[in-house]
Amino acid sequence: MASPLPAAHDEPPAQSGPSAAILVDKLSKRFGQFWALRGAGFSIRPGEILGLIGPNGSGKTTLFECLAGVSPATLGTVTRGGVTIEPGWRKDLLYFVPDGVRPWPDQTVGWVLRFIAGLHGSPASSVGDVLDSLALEPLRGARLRELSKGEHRRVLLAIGLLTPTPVLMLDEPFDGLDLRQTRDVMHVLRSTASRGRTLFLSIHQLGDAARICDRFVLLSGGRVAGEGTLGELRAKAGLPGADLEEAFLALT
Amino acid sequence: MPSPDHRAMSGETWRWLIEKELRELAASRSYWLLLLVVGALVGHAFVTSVNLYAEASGIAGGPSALAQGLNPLEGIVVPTFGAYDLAATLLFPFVVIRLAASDKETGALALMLQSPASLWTSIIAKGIALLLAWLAAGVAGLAALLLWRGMGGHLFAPETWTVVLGHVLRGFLTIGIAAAAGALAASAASAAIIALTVTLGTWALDYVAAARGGAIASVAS
Repeated sequence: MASPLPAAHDEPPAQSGPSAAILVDKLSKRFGQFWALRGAGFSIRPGEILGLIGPNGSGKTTLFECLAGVSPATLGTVTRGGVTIEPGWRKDLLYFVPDGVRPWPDQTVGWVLRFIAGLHGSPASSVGDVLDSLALEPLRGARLRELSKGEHRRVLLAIGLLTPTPVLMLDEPFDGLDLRQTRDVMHVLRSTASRGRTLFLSIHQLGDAARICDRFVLLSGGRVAGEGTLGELRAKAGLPGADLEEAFLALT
Repeated sequence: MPSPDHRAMSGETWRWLIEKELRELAASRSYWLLLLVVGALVGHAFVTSVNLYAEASGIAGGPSALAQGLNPLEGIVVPTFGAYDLAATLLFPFVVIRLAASDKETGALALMLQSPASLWTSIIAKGIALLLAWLAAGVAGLAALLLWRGMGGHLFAPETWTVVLGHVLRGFLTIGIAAAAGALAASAASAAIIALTVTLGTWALDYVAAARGGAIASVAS
């Protein structure tokens, strides 16, 4: 599990065709009089690791919920190849693993992962692979309520990895993990992306984001403040040689 | 791309959903408490009603003047199954609410909403599991009836099954009320208050209707 972490790309991976990209346009969400999302627009390219970067309260989780169709957007569209993907259809395309959920606390890790794989029609053998890759095998018989924060985080990741959708959205996938676990999970995620699955990660630690993501969407106050590779964000910010943190601060 | 809601649900999907709900029920302390209380209440009601029946019918050596007015339906079946009225009103709603509201409280609902199963499939699976749980609780009552038959007592099948079916339907009604409360209320505690208000309210309505009659009686009936 602890093999060297491949370097994040400065340029996006090769595209399988522009029609396969998911285009998010003017996505907006209002709670009462408060607009949590204000016309967010960006693209999700096949096979990339896209980072959603923004401070607390910038609308990252709301954006994921609206994209996944778990929460209805007030305005906006999601299209792929020119075809609008209605919220009820998005579960065939996107799967969102929220942060801070504690599902099925009385069930064992092994059963929950078999349940997710069975429900989504994934092969039963994939459960063993995911348990191995995330070092969860010793916890197979443990109940979810007995797990530490880091262990629970890895179970949530395993749930996401066992779903078959082309795009997997993870909210704060490294929260609660120590340094070694973070590196190991990054390796698993990059390995998943290398097999063609698109990952869209919400990360508030910019250092982690810079290490794993191919491209970034900067979110501030519910608006997209920038989108692109680190090089493109540097150029947009007018700060050649800046790191992600400096580019983020300049653009938001 | 086909809409998931129009995709045929496989038998495997149903099996996983119902197994999940049954496992959640098995892990529920409120359900085990329900079984414990129902078992004790049914046992007590059965023993008491058999003793009273024996005394009133003269079997125990007493006067048999009341024997002609007795029948097993009113003397044994109805009192024995009376425990289920209490359980359906005061205990079963908590079992239902826990199952209905737990997905919302733990965040599992967000994961389930993205599963291939439609929302209605998930709700029906919960209903099936809860109905099975209520039927399992009915084993105590059926065991009492078998014991009654073993003791040489008589049961008239149509009227006995009418009582049993009535309690099954009552359980079904409780599932509907408590599940709706669990889905709509912000917390399980609020849902319990709503469900108990409705179920106890029907008792109060029955009582007032029986005492006063008139318009209230027509509403209650």
